[in-house]
Amino acid sequence: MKLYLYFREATRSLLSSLQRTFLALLGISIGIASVIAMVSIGEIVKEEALRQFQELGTDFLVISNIADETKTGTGIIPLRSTVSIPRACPSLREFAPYAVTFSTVICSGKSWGSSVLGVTGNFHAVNKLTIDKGRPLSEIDQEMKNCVIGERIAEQMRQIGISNMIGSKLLIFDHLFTIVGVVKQASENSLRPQEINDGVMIPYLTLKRITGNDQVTGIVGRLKKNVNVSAAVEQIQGIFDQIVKERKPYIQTASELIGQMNKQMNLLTLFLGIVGCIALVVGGVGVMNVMLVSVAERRREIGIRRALGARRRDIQGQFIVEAFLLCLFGGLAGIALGIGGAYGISRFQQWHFFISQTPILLGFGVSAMVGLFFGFYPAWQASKLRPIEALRAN
Amino acid sequence: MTAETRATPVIELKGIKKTFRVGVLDLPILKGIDLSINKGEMTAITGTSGGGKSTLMNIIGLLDEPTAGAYSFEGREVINLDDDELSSIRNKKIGFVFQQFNLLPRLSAAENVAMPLLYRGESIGKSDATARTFLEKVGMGDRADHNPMELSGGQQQRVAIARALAGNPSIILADEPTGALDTKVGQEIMDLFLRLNKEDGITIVMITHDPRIAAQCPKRFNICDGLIKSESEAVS
Repeated sequence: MKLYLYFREATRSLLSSLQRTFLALLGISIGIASVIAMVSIGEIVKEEALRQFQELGTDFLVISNIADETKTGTGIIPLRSTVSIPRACPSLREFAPYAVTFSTVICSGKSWGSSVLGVTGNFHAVNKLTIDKGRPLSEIDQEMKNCVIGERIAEQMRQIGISNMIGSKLLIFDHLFTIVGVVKQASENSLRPQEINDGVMIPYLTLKRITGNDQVTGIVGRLKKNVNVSAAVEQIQGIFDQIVKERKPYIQTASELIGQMNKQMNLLTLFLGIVGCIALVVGGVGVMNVMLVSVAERRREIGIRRALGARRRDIQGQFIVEAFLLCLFGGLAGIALGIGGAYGISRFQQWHFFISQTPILLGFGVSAMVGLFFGFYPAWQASKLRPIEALRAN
Repeated sequence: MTAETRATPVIELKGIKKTFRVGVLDLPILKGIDLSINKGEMTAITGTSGGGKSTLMNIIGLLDEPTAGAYSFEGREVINLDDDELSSIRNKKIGFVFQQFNLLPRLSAAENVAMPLLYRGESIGKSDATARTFLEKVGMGDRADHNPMELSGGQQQRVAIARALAGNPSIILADEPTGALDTKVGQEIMDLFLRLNKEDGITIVMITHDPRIAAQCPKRFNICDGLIKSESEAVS
């Protein structure tokens, strides 16, 4: 019954000074909105970053830093010396060595400098590439002069008016190659070899036969399900220690990278959340300010109520409910505003928008806390007013 | 009414002193007041302004504490009660009527009158019904849903009296109840007090500086310079 009384008195008071109420609501809702928007954007960015890796698969791994660029011809690791690796490392499910070289690519009299990848038949599948037109290279293409082009070359061909690229000829290493496929742009932020988008893929053995170059630049692979990733990495490291003496290969796995990114992104979310909380505290101080002004302005009213028999806790209850209502409605508006803000930003950045319950619960929880915390002091002050002094106030 | 309850005064003050501290000076306002008010009496407290009558009224109304002295309310010592107990006595036993009416501006007349009952924990329906009964009694039944701003001074004071009566208190304390009203309306309010005293036996203590109002009260105290200068009781 008393609670109803507090709510009634608080509502009337808030409605009687709409401007002040509005300003307090604005402050608190901007605070809540910034917490929700910041935390949501942190989560969205995290998902966005992880998605590119998850699309690639968490079992993906890449081994690099194994080629010696100063040597040509037969390098440190020829293709045949990699054949034994899957047998020595049972955790590996798939395994695709590749070589990167550089060549001038000539098409219809135009020439471009481009990366040329020598790839094995399973390179396309291991990298989970998507074919835009035509077909990927396979094992039967080995030693044949067929190639698959990446998005950059495709774009340059479009610019010189070639729209039907399948079957077109490219001059690479002074040899005529037939385009059998075009791959779609692969996500930039992944572990895949960057040369896929930039260059041309030709069969590894064709590259070896034409240029005499048999030096594996890197290896992409996939691990079996449910293997211990760090143990597998250690095992692979051990194998390479035996075949490469001069340098330490660099092994990256998607799952480790995702773990690291998760950590970084959680840190980002935390940081954004803290920034949001600062805004919220400013909003809370606004509520406290409004409440203190309200208490000061209503000293006489407090005196009358005390004379009529209101206890200290009745006065306190009324003012706390007032602050609580401010924060409740400010919080609701802030949640809507925050979700809207996060949606707008993700829309603008073309991220996949989603809202998890964390920021909503956080927003609700925090606004209730702010209301009680910043409402408590003014309410306490109001309740401590001596009735006689309150009554004398104008 | 038994002889026993008649024997216990509603209010009994003994040697009440009140000193205000102004800077380094102690300023005595009340210098030892003895007075008792019995059930059913209508008492006026008169005196020059600054003579301490408002201070005395605040002490009687448990809004302020004396510096020294004894105060028993219906035989109960009230000097050392805690804030909640004092609030409870104000709520249940004392009805206040102020010079400036002191109605809560955002509430209707009926809601104002119901306020002490709500603080007591009564239900909304019941307290609203009680409030309307008392508004009827003071001749404001048709204005129950008006806001104080829409009422004249005299009407506001009637609502305030209804509010003081609604809690069925042991005593009504009225501080200059006619002070903000013109003579005619002031007399109407005085008539209402007299009627309530006579017909319902309500105990009333009234502060006034208006001799014409004071003259209508059967019992009078004159306070001058912090002491009761004269006490007179009309033979009724």
